[in-house]
Amino acid sequence: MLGLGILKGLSVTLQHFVETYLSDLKRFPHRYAPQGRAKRLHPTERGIFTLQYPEERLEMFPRFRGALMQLTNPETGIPKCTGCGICARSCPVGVIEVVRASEKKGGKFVPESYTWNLASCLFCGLCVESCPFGALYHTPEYELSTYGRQKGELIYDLDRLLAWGQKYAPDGVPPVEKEK
Amino acid sequence: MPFLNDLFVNLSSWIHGFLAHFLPLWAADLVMMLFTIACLIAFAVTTIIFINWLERKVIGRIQDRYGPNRVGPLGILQCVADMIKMLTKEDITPAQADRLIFNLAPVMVVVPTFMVLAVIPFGRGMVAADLNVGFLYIMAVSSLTTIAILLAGWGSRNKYSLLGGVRVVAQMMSYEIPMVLSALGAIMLTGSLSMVSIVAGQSRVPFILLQPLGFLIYLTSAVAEVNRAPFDLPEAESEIIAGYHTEYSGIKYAMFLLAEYVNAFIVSAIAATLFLGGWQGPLLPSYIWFFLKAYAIYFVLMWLRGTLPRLRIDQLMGLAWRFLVPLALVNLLVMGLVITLTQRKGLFSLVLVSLVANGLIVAAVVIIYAFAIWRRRQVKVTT
Amino acid sequence: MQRVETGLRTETITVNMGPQHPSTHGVFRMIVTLDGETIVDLEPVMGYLHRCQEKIGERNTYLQNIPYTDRLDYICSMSNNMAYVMAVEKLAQIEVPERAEYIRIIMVELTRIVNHAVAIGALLNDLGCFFTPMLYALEERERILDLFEMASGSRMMCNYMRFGGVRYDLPPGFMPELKSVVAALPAFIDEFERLLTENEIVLARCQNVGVLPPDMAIAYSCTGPLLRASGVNYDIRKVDSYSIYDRFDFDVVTETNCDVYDRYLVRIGEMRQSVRILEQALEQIPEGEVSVKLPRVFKPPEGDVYHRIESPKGELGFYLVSDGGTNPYRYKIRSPTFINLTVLPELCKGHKVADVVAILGSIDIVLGEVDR
Repeated sequence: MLGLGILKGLSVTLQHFVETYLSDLKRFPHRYAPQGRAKRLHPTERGIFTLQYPEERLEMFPRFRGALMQLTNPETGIPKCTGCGICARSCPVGVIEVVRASEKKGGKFVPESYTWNLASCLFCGLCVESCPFGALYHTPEYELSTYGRQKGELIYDLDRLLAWGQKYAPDGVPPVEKEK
Repeated sequence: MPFLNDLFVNLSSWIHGFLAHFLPLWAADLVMMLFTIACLIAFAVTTIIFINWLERKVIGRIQDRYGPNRVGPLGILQCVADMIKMLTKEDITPAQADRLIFNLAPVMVVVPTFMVLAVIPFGRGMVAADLNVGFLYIMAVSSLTTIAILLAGWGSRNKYSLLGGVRVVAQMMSYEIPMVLSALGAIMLTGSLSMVSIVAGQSRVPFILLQPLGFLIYLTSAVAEVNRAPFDLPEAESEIIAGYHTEYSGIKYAMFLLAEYVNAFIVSAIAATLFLGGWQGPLLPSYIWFFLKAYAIYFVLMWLRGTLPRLRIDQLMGLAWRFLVPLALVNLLVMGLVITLTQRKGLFSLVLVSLVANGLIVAAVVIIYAFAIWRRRQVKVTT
Repeated sequence: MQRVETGLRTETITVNMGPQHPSTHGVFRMIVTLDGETIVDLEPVMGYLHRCQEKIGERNTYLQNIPYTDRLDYICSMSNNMAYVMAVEKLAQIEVPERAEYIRIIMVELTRIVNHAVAIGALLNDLGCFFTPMLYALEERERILDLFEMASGSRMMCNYMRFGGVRYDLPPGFMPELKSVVAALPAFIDEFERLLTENEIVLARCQNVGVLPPDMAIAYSCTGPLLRASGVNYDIRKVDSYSIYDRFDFDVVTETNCDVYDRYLVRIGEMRQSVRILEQALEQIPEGEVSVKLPRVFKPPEGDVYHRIESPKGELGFYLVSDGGTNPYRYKIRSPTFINLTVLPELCKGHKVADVVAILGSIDIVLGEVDR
């Protein structure tokens, strides 16, 4: 009443204004988090909430559903994928296309070609969930924009997916399986 | 210190003397005048760049973020980048618009803004034109903005613009009245309309101590006068897109932006001059004091913008006519009485009596308000 | 409408608010007839975000529909998941493990807090606050979305629930994180209230604006906070209790003035009640399995089913007809905001232009759900 409510609101915003400078002081003289590894402001802390994105990044959780990757069996060096096409059938939008090779390799089926069309992917993870061989997983990769939508840009082939598999799960075990 | 204090005054008289060496006196005066005008316009343009940056920073901080921090150190060049963007953008005139009016409006809105700067005392002796009717000049010239904005709203041939333009007329006409009435207190205390004498009159005590109520009324109506939150109805983003400048782009839009920000700075500067003692202050040079005070008031404006939602048009008009105008009139009457009563009684008694009088007005408002609420409850119970 | 006879000829003007307008919460269009600033008539036009969700639902298998429910009301994907998954469970008569029920409740109540915080923030934004309350709300939302991401792998399109449980158990480190977020929530709500609840401008703008009498609210089948702000004590969590809501002690928040301000208050109150539910759920949550094993090709028996839950925006129901195949024969969504929105023209008539956005904001629509 009579402007008291307005004053209350003004006090809240002033408090936030001052607290951002206090949180700056805590970080002084550094401007960004060390090695760019930012953490979300804890619920009890106050101050600047935003992250300075290119300089600072949040670490992704192991379950994060980023781009797909294909794993390789570290012992044989052959892709775990058998080209069975269950992932392609489980996909609600049909972004995965698999062709099984006519000849077996190392005593197992392998895919002849495997394409993943990022452009219309939902990132729902049903393909990963349905893979019976543990060959398909998510990477923590999220900066996926490109300048074109052709093959090699938005359309991923087996080699690129396997390369990511090598990068994020060189021992054949993805981060999400290591979480326990 | 005296050197710093009179830096700009000495500089100007030195240039004038230099010119007088090889020009006739009238020509030297003319060149000097043009030079001052150029300085003021340059000042206005740099002010908008700085103020725009400052506002985004302050509101960013209020919202727990940094605000612009990419272009240049602390993001200070962000507004330069924005200006370059605006200047290079396509300049569109809608096919259905009234071309003459549409193109004239942005020019008309900027001119009064620059004209007002002429009478503001930026420091001791730092005033482009010390008019003896300075305040009257400010009110008269700044009223011109209204017609320019109405032209913009009308000429765009856009319904949102029209609504914005009509809102501007209603709002600015209404709020000019309490604005002038509250400023009259300061003028009564000085007995002069000249901005320079008003500042000089506050050498012992700033007028905010004598009439805090007048200051609040002035600030409220000044915020409404320059269409800033919580009174930014003419350009209410969530209701009528951008109001009167919906159809403008490029440099013409930049003109509106310039006028808006410079006007906001000007009302802060006038409030500092009328109530906070202008450039008066110890130790620091006079112009620094002036800018400190003006920016302090501008900070309040930014703070309000970062906190408050906006009023509705009928509530806005109600606030002006049903609350601010009567209050300003009562304030004027009481101030007149106080000044008459405490004539030749010394400064201390003047301050004391004015504060008591202001307190009494506030108490009366509270009592009337409480009574009104009580009455409303009674009516509710009986019906 | 009172008109003063002045001999001056005036005309009404028709303004197209939307589909591109800053405060229509997406691509909603209102054809507004104005007399000056006063609304004479308002006609809502929907369908700009129609994506054939229901037809796509008939094409998809039952499992493939879950990611599509995420995209209905993209602010509360968890409660959409829950409504759909429970409908299918009712159809196929699947028992859900107890721990999974608790995880679902935790997720859904967190979603309710997210939704109400965003709804209030957006309402205040529409009232003209320069993003401050919105950004404060988004801060709290970020923390909750972090929890969602930790558990499900995605912030907004969670796709977390499955028939007979949830996708996977809570990850290690989730519980302490959740506890610290829940512990900080009351302080956040308090500060949020201090910011603008008693603000005179908010009071002036919201009180006695968009009054929706209880009988009209029921006649238009409004649900959710909109209905409860009209003083009707109707919360599906209480009247048609589902999942394990009967184990928690919470109140249904109702207000009696039926205006925009009361809808704001109801949302604030429901956030506090959600915190209460969360605190109890955190104490009670048992260990154990989180999902039941289902055949790889899931075929529910023939029949039809309707299941409804109290989503943050109101009654969210799924009607499914199964012919015994792998995909639904008919997939129908009863979306709360679509039905709540039908009352908009009645609420707006006689008010000012500025009130339209406030009323629209108080109904709290998400166009993904309205147009489906």
